[in-house]
Formats: sequence, C-alpha cells, structure tokens
Amino acid sequence: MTAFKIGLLGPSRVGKTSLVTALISEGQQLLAGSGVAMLPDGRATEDKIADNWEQLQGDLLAGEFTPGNLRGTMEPFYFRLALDPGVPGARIGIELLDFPGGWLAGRGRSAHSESDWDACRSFITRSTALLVPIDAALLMETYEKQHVKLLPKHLTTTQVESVAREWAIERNRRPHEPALIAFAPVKCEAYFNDNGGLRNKSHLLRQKFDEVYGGVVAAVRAEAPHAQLLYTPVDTLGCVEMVKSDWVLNEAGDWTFDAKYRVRRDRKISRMGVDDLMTAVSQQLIQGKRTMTADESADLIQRAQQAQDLADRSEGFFRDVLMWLNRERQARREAAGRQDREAQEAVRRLQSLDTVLEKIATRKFGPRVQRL
Amino acid sequence: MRAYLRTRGTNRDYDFIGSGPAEYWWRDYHDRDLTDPEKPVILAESTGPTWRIYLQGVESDRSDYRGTPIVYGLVLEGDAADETGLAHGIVGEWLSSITTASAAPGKALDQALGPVDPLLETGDREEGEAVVRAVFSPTGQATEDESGGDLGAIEPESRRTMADPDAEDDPARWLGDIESEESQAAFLAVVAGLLGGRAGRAVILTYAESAGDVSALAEDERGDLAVLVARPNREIVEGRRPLGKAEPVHPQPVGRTPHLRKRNGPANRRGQSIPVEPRRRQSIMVPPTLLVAMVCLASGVLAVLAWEVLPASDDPPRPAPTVTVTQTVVVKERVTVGPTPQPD
Repeated sequence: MTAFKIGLLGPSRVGKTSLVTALISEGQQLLAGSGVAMLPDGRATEDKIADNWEQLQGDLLAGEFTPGNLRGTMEPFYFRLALDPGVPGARIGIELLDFPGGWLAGRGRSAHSESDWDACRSFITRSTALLVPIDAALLMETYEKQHVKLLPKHLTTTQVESVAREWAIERNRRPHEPALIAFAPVKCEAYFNDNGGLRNKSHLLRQKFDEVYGGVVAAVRAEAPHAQLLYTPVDTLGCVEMVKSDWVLNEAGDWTFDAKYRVRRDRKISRMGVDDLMTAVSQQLIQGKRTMTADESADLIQRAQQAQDLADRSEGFFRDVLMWLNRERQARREAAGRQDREAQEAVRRLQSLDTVLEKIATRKFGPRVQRL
Repeated sequence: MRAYLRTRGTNRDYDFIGSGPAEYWWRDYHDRDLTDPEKPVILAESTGPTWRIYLQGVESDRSDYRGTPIVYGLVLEGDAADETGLAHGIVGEWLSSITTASAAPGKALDQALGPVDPLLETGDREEGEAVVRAVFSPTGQATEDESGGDLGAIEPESRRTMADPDAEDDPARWLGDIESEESQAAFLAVVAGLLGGRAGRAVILTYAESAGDVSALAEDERGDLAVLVARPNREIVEGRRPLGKAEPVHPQPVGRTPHLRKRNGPANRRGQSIPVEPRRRQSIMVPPTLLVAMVCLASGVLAVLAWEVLPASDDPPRPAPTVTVTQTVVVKERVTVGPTPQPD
C-alpha cells in the first residue's frame, strides 16, 4: 500500500497533536456518504487518538479546558492511517509525523535532536500536504508592542517560512504531483459566531494572519505556483469560550502567553472547520492516487500489448515448430492473457477512483475556508 | 553503569541532561506497535554481558510554563560486572512509582536537581547521573552534594528486595498484567536475571493486552521474556501466561530425501517451511511418428556425410585444400628529429 505523507509545521504546544486527532476522529463521519472511509492503521495510532480523546473529555467534564493539560510531545510520533476509497487495491496509506515543536525553534537542540530534526525536515519536504497549525489566541490576544515583537519567536514564523519554502521547492520539482499547504488557525472558538460563539472577529483574525504569515504565503506561492494554498480556521473543540489570556513574565525572565477556556453548558465537542481541512486533504490524496493508478494502468496496458505482440510474432519456420513442440508459444499466450487481465483490472480501478474523486470534488468548502 | 536523565524545564523542551545515549533503541518498540515510549514504561534488554534499561513516566512535582505536569525519563546502560544492585533498585522504585502513582521518586529528583532549565542548557550527563545515584542510592540515605545540600534520597521502605537471578535455570517467558502484584514481583526477578548476565528482555507494553499482541516479539527473543501488558481499558490478565520458547528459524527437515529438500521453500518466522509450487519442467512432447521420421532423416544425413567425407579404398587421394597466404608488408618510415632539412 502506498503511503502519502502529510507534514505538520508548528511550534511547541500549538496543538499539533490535537489537530491531528481531531482530523482523524472527525474524518470517519465527515467522509460518510462519500464512499471513502478513514481508519487508523495500527494500535499506536488507535491508542493515541483514544488517549487524546479521553484527556479532552476529562477536561470537558471538569468544566475547564486548559490547553496545557495536554502533554507535549517528547518523541516523534508517526500517525498511520488508511484512506479506503472502497475500490479494491486502491487503499491509500497516510503517514502524519508529529514531533516535539521545540525542534522547529532550534534553540539548544542537542546533537541527537539535531539528527531527529533532520529526519523530520526531510519527511516534511517530501510531504504531499503540509498543515501549518497557528495559535489563533496568541495571534489575536497580543496587543502591546513589547509582546507583538515576540510573535515571530513564539509562532516560529521564520523557521516555518524556511521549511515551507523547502517544501514548495520540492513540490515544484514534481509538478505532476498534488501539493497542498493549509494554514489552520486553531482554537478559533472565540473569533467566529457560527459555532456557538457570540462575536465574529474572523476578519480581524485573517488580517492578523496576513500580517504575520504574509511572508510564508509569498514564499510558497513563488516557489510552487501550482500548489493549493488554503486558509482553514478550526474550532478544535467548539464547546469552549476563552475567559482569560495573558502574557506573563516567568521566573527565568521570559515572556510566556497563556489562555484559559471555560466549557460551554452543553459540554459536547462540536468541531468546526475540520471537515473542510479533511476534504481538502482527501481530495489531494485521492487525486495523487489517481495519478499513480493512471501511470500504473498505462504501464500495464503497454506491457500487455508487448506480451501480445511477442505471443503472436513469427520466429521463422523451424523456431515456430520448436516453440510449438516445447510449448513456448502457449506459455507466451498465457502470459499475454494474464497481463491483459491485470491491465483491465487497473483500468477498472481507475474508473472507480474517478467516481469517488468526483463525489469528493463536488463537496464545497464551508464559508470559513479561503483560498490564498 | 551510565545513567542518562531526561526531563523538561519550565521553558526548555524535553531533553537529556548533558547528552543522551548513542542509540535511541526504545523507539523500535513504538515502530513495532508494542509500546508508547512517552507513557510510564520500563524496557529492559540484556545480551548477557551487557544490559540497557529505558524507564519513563515518573511524575515530577514541577510543571512547565503552561502548567503542564512534567515527567522524568531515565536510560541506564551497563554490564554484568556493574553495580547491578543500584540498577535493580531503580527499576523496582520506578515500577512502584508508576503502578501506585507514588510521587516520592519524582519529588526526590526535583529536590536534588534544583532549577532544571540551566541544567538542560549547560549541564553534563554526569550531573544527572550523580543525582540519580544519590536519589536511588541502595542505602536509602540522603546524600550530600559538595555544597552540603541535601539531595533528598527516597525512603528505603518502598524498595523491593532484589530477586535471586539464579533462582530459575530455564528461560522465564511469560506475559502478565501490570496491575498484578505477583506479576510485578516476577518482572523484577527477571530484571535481576538480566542484570546478572542472562540474555532476554523484561518490558512493559502499553499497546499489548494479550499473548497474540506480542507473538512477533516472542519469536524474536530467544532468552528470558517478561511482558507486563498495560494497554488502557484492557481486560485484566489473570496470573501469568506462558509465551513459549522461540523455535529456531530454520529447523532441519526430518525424514525427507535430499531431492525433496531442494523443493522446500524458505522457512517462515515460526520456522515452518513454506510450501512452494513445484517448478514447471520444460518438457518436449514428440509424437512417435515424428520421432521415427526424425531418426530416419538423421540416419540418411549421416549416410550422406559418410559417403562424401570418408574416402573409398580405390579412390585417388584428394588434393590438399588450397591455402591463400597474404603477405603483409610493413613499410618502416624513417623519422628525423630536429630541424627539417631545407631543399637547396
């Protein structure tokens, strides 16, 4: 099974793991009716999702959500999934790499972390789709100049731009392959009024995003003009309301940002924007798989034709007699038949995949999504 | 024995103090869908002469800048001649801490380490090791550092006695539940054996809940193998389940002729040979009439050749074949080195 790679690019504690688990958890129901199913591939992924879900549920029951309660990542973790378009032999493997966000910042990376980060960077640049989670609260709740100055450091925009540029260059070397970069502001509950929120500050959020991430967007657009760039704000939980956010000077003399959330009465997770992100990713992956299957079927058809030509070709009287005697001719005909059946199977798979792709492609993005 | 202590500071991400081990071998357990190395686990491996142990998940009293509780991780490496008593004590204490949620080791480490951020930035591995040795010292006495500070050793009452590694001669191969005290004690006994020079593994696996989940590991590991399953929401495993001894990968076939042996396929991971389809033999099917005709034809050709080639006794001798000799003439050119003579 071919595995497509999806890269994550965000600083420490932005909510990379939560975004991935949200994507996977919602994936199954979001794709319902499209003929495509998303399944965890292996116990590690299955348990990680369950673990994150339990932690979130615990917070919601307690009535207070503190992003800090979710443990950070200390080891790289490969989420392995299977996207099943319902076409035999066309299952798509997906790998998402979650890594300690501190590796991106690079400050004080140890020798081993350095080599780990090299492996992560290589994975990211080879990814078909790149997700860039952004802390919406950090972006929106920073007003004072002394704190605004710290935004690039806390959002690691310089590092994000550098890696995103590398990714775009690599994508540009493969213009026939799909390429998607999705900027996903997370924890957006306080800035939209379409999911239980009272105020709509979505325009301001977009404006701040443009100010801070304009360089990243420009770099990707310049290096990979064919790449699809999306802005997909996400409510990671949906049922929380931000009650307090603050910049605090800690004991070590560093400014840190923290936000506290209150759980709304219904205490029911109601994610928003995740479906759009999932749709965009699925479209890219199925398109990629379709391209691969098309190449594969073209190759198989060509081979089948060659095999048929070989089976029919006359090798001269005596050789033909010899081939008849040692059954070589029969073997050649059997091989030609076999290859023809394989080619026909690939063509059928391609046609079915086209049907699925058409269904997903017709799904429209929600009003939050903007093309960049 | 070498100890590598891993934790995070208020601002600094998780890392080993000073430097980490050369190889991050515990990640293999995650790659094989066996355990989450970020969860409270113990992974002990021994080749016989050398051993290494990965311990993770003792909770610190500290929290990071966002209020997230911090945990400790520890990697120990050594050989059978090392202070295995100390290593075993650490494993016992760690196991006790992660099964009873005891805060004692974490608190003791916090107290002994002091501010962690500067240590992660500029500290040496030896500093971390010194703290580990002080906190888990077998005497249970609080050790004083050079400045006279109390490094805060944990209470000895919570220590478990080191099991006798020679208690059993046969390899210990079983699977138990981390909730079972009996299995915990047996686990520590296996660890003692590994530290004492026996080859094998003693591991806590967070993705495993039954013997079927560890079958690949059981096949790979030939020596001792103690597995404590710790998957959340599992059905508790009663007692200890034998894991069986791993079979040789390529068993000698018995009672087969050499001819048949050649046809055997490669052995699978359980050592059973995989049947393969017999190779298709290229055969020529010649009809008998055609065979007779071919024999007659061949005889005729031979007769003609014999008539043409073999001379009759009264025939004159045949002339010798004409051989044309081509003579190659090599013309040697005289080459004059120096100024070209000018014509008069």
